[in-house]
Amino acid sequence: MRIRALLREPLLHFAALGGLIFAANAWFGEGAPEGSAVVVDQAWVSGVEAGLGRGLGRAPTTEELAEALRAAVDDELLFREGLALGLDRGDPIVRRRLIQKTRFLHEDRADLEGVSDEKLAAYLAEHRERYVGAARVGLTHAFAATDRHDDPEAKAAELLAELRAGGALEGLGDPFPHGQRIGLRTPADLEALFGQGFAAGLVDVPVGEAALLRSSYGWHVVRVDEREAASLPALSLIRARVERDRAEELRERAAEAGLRRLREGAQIVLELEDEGLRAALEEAL
Amino acid sequence: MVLRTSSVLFASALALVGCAEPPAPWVDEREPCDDNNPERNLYWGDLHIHSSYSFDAWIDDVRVDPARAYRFAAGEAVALPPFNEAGEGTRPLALDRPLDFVAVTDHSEYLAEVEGCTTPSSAIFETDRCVAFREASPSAFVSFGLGLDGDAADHSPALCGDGKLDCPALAGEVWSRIQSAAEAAYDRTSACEMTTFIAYEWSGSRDLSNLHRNVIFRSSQVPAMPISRFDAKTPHSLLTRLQSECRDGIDGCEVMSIPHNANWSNGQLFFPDYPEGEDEGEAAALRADLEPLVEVFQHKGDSECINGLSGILGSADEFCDFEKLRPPPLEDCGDGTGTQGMVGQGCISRLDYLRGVLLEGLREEARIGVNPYMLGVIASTDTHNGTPGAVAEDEFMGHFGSRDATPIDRLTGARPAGARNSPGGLVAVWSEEKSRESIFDALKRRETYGTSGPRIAVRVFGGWDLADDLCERPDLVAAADASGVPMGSALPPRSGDEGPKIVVSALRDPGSAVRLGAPLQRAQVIKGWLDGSGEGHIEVFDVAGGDNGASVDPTTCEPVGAGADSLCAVWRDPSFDPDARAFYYVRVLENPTCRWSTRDCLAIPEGERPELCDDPTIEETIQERAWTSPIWYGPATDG
Repeated sequence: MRIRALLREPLLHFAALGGLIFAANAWFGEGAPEGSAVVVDQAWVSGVEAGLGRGLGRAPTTEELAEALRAAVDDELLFREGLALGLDRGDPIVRRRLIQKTRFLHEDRADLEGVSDEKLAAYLAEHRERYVGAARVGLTHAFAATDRHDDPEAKAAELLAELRAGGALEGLGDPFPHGQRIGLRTPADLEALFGQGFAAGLVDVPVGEAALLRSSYGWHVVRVDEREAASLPALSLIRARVERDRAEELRERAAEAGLRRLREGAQIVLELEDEGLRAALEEAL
Repeated sequence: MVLRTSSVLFASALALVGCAEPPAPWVDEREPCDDNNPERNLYWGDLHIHSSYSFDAWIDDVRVDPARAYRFAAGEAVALPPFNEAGEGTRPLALDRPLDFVAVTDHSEYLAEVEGCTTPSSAIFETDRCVAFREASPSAFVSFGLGLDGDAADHSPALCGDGKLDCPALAGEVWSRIQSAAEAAYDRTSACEMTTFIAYEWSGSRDLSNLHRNVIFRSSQVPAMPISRFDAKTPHSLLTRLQSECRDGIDGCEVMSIPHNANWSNGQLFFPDYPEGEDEGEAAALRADLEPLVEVFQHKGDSECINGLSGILGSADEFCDFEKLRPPPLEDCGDGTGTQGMVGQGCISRLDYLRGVLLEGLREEARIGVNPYMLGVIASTDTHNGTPGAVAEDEFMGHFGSRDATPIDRLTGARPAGARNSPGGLVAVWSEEKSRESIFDALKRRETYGTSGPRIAVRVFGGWDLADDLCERPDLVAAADASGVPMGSALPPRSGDEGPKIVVSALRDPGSAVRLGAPLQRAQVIKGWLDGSGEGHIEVFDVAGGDNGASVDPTTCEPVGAGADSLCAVWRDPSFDPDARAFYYVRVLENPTCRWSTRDCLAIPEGERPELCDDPTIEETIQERAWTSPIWYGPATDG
């Protein structure tokens, strides 16, 4: 999966794959490429020949092909010399791309194979708070519109008095496009319907009780019909999401592990006068 | 789960059986939603979004992929380009209110080519085309863009075919990833927090006149391949293939196609021509069935109405002077069509705007017995940043990645129209619950509307016997459901001697913790009809609110004057002619607010502002609005 992310990445047009692997090898200390021979093999020839043919609209002659291959060998030599001279280090674009690429190589070492239900269930249990939905409230309300009453609060208070005198909430008040009955909703949903602060006004209202609340549109008599506590959904219902999150975390961890190995194998000298900073950085490293 | 397409022959046989069956409530396994409401809830969405999988998004450093775009819609932040040295985006953006539903609609063309051009091991990675693409050279943009035009358009042999990419196979892989992204973000629990649709954009044009459509699927049952304009050369061919490959080919597959940017089409998107050799009635019926909606507003401007064109009778409508992508003067196509709308050229047709299209639909219905343009109304963003629902005028970051990074870039850019671009709009549906099937079905029955961005709640019903006191009744919806039809429907056969009634009930956008909604100014009914000689007429009625003198101080963007929090009215057509086919839709206007371009101009030091900050044809303010789907009337002799 990570390969795909890597492959989707923008690449500098001058950084061919060969160069990348080459650079990556150098980075990981797995070779000493400066001294090694430049080998012009059939695969390379075919690639150059195909590219040349597309440009010319016909097969290149032997001379043309040789000329193009010489240019390619020159490029390779320049590329190697540039690396040997450390020219890549001075270029912020090359530097950034190499850092990203190497990070992806580490991320790719994450073991994403064989995602069993057990593994996902364990992940879900471990990150419970991320998947628990918000607590929700269902309500019925009667509306007193600012645009229909001189004193909408007083109007709503009248409606509340009617309710408390034994009347029904249904059938009271002004029309509201969302209707009188609002099914189980999160606080964010309620604020999107009624405006800021509306959900906070409901927090202390017990089920079956009614309160007067202000909205963006006027005043409301609001009766809380039901409350549902936050709960964790079954894995089967959120499997795709959990799998995605777990894979992301594993890749992140693989990159972290790779960095740890690099740090452990590297000599990092802290020439710092600030002792506090030195201690903090040593701790962080 | 992706099912393979059955053969067309088999599919046709199935179609005969399948037609009679109503769609199952859920094709996919899922829990019922807790907030299911037979009187329908209001949900907000964006059905037109491009991510890094679109060639014209990637090229401007957009790296938000479909998975990330779906998560942005649910409230997660992204960082837009340009990138800093560490390769991170430098412009963080998050929605102040998550969306309820969303479809990422990447161009189905070039899914393989973009993947190949950005994959180092691919067979085309080193080609000049790909190098130019990765360098974001204008020539690469133009060659990909022009490659979409004309009925002969095809994949480039420089990128696809022998020795190059296996483009169908690779596009299929990318398509699977798009499906996985939609699946991972779809909430199948009973909380129903987020609904995602699997979708793509078919991006055909002819003579650079826009014919684009978004293709939206109802469930996870979708064909193995998206259809590109290379596979289906014409809109009609797209529709016949959607019919055979999805509806007739796969159990549980249902789909719609939503055209957009008629304003870019020189009359071609809605010109009523039918493929040679096809039965006109059948072709019109297929179109009516698969294309129940039109997107009338998005970042490339408004397609509701324009003043001054021939062929529509009625007074000028001052509120049509709204978010026009092209500056005047404009040539009138008359009864013909033009070319090159997508590059800001060519004539403008009455068929480039909703009103003309709806009238043309009535005309076609009179002529062939089928209305191919019985269109509901939506709006969306068409963002190319992978940021669905980012429509705020005061936080507009442009639509094309690093190309729109600064106020100067946005104001003077050329993709496509700098200061004339818009942040785009939203689509609202009234559906029983927030699941794919329920929202899709509400879209299909056109109980949907569009806004230029704000979340204005609007309910509309039409009927012959709607009670006059509906605006005093808290059971307005139940009463109107019982005695009328909601937006998007045809009126039932006429009863009584008088004209139909329309009831409108609207609430202002309540705003969010970081952004106030603007008050409402007025609600209008727009009536269109054909007279006895077939001439089209439009009349606009203020039915609630009206001119309230509200304005904006353009030097500070402070609003001046009050407006309404809610509006409600029951209106009866005062000049109804029972013999005349007609439609009625509602437009709700906010008080004026500051346009994004004014805010961007103010953000630039006075001496450094581009000239267009003083251009009188660029409005300083915007009257944001909602447009509802129409309600139609046809004489009783119909059918």
